[in-house]
Amino acid sequence: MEYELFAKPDNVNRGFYDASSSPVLSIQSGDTLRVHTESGLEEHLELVGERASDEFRAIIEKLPIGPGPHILIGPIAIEDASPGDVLEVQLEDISPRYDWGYNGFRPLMGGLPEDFPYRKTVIVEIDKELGVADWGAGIQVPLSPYFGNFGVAPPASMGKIGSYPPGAWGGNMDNKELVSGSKVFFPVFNEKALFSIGDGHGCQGDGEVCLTALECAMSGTLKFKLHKDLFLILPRAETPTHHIFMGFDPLIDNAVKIALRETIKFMRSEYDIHRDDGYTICSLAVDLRVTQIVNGVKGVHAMLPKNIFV
Amino acid sequence: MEFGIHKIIANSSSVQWGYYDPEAKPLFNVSSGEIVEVFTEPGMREIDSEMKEMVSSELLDIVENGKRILGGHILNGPIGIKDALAGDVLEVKMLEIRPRYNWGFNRFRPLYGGLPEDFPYERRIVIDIDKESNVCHWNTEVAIPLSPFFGNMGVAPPLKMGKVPSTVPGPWGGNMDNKEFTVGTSVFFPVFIDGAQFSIGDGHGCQGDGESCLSALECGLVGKVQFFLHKNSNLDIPMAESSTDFIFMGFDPILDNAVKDVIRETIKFLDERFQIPKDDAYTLCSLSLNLRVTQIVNGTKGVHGLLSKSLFKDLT
Repeated sequence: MEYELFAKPDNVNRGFYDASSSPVLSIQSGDTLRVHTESGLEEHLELVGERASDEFRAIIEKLPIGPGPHILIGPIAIEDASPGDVLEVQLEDISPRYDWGYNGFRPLMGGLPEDFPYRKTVIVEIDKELGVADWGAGIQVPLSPYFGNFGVAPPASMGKIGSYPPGAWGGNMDNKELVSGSKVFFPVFNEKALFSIGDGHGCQGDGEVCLTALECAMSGTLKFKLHKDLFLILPRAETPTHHIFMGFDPLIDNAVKIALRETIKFMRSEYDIHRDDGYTICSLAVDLRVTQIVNGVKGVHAMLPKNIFV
Repeated sequence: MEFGIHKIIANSSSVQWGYYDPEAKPLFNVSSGEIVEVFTEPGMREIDSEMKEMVSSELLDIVENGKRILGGHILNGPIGIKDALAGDVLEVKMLEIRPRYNWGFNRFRPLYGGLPEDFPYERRIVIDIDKESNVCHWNTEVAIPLSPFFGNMGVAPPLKMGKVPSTVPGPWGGNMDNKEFTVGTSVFFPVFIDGAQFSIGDGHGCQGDGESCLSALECGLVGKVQFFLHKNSNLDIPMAESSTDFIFMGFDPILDNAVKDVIRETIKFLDERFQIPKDDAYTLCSLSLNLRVTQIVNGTKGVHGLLSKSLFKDLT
């Protein structure tokens, strides 16, 4: 089956993941869902005025916000999903909805809070035809759109958690590799998995340095596949060229270790590579990248190239 | 010396083994614009009878007659740069880099590496280098493409620091282990003493960002580097420029701190080179600066930021 959801007040939440949320749609493994997300806060609504969609305006006016700021479509129930399963989400046809996005930073947050103890918000023009964001001052930044924040509901025992930090459920991963053509695998913690998605990023560098990316409303197609025979502790991903492993921790030094251990474990289970060789392969061929430094819980991802396996 | 190209073939009298030393005498002096060809050896000092067949007579000479101090890297040099003074900037352009031998090695050992808790033992393997196919392999079902670069290079540190170990990176460069420093890249170093006194070695046939286990594909390399002296320039810490990116570096025992250093270096550069106000530079970093973990295994860890040069094609 194919489904389509346009973000509006009755199918999104603002700022949280919660295992007790009621699903807005129920689908099956193998189904496809086209989503059209919205992005922003009241200040962005005011800055863009007439250019804001009616749905964005309604979401801002009608829905309470918190603990996080992200507008997430969902949750989507996946029939037959049970704790211990793995939910695969294939991403296709991701593109910005509108010709505007925004970026900004604020005190006490971002990568250099000591140097930037004040607030700045800018509306950025998006040229969908040329595939660039007009940064002004003669700088055009190429678009490479993806969703920053998506995942399953965390364990029910965690209750309602903010959409800020990433974790075992996915959430605010802000991983710029997860563009069209990639797949993400999530551990399932609850019956029906309860998947949510939002936080479109038109482009972002590894690190998401100042706090936000080119934040924008985004359309994308998701295909869901339930795996009863897989088991995961943390989300992992796959692109046409790489396997991607993620580590989340308030300290990058710790996140690096988590990502490395996941990579070595995967090579052992998937390719039957001894852990000593796995460690050496990490040293010779696996790239450690700083996913984001701005979500409280920071992220590192390890990129294992597929082409080294003969 | 042939046709104006100086050569340094690593042997016990042409290398600094394990250190950078502001008091070392240069092997020779070159002028800005000149090219030096280096033949380096990997820093392998435990050579058993089986390996004796494999290694060069020069490496045996170094191991038997050389004097190792502080670290383990075998560095060709130092090379004096004529007219270089403290406060100048030395650009070193990588013109050619290729593996010298058909073997390299990789090693991890207790208390070192990215996961010392999980690997509290030593392992060293010899890895075959297939120069024709441009890959390396050992007895696994993997073949890793080569992308050779020098892990360890730099100028002499400030005189007051005296000898520094070759194990850590710092403002003088040193053990940066930055896999972006392949052919075509220029690395820019602050100059701390007269003559700059540049040394280079620690060939890596390939390496991932992070150099996770402690060492890369450690191997002998042949390289040609060209020196350019910049008098009207100033740097606090090395930076680099590849054909596609500006590369900024941060060195700190804690990666979270190294990240901040890189962002600050980038913002400073965007102001100096393109007059971009710092608020805009900060947000541009968020959209375009790619933060990568250079290495986690040299005590002082490294992060580098890649900023695409194509962003600035309409500015000059």
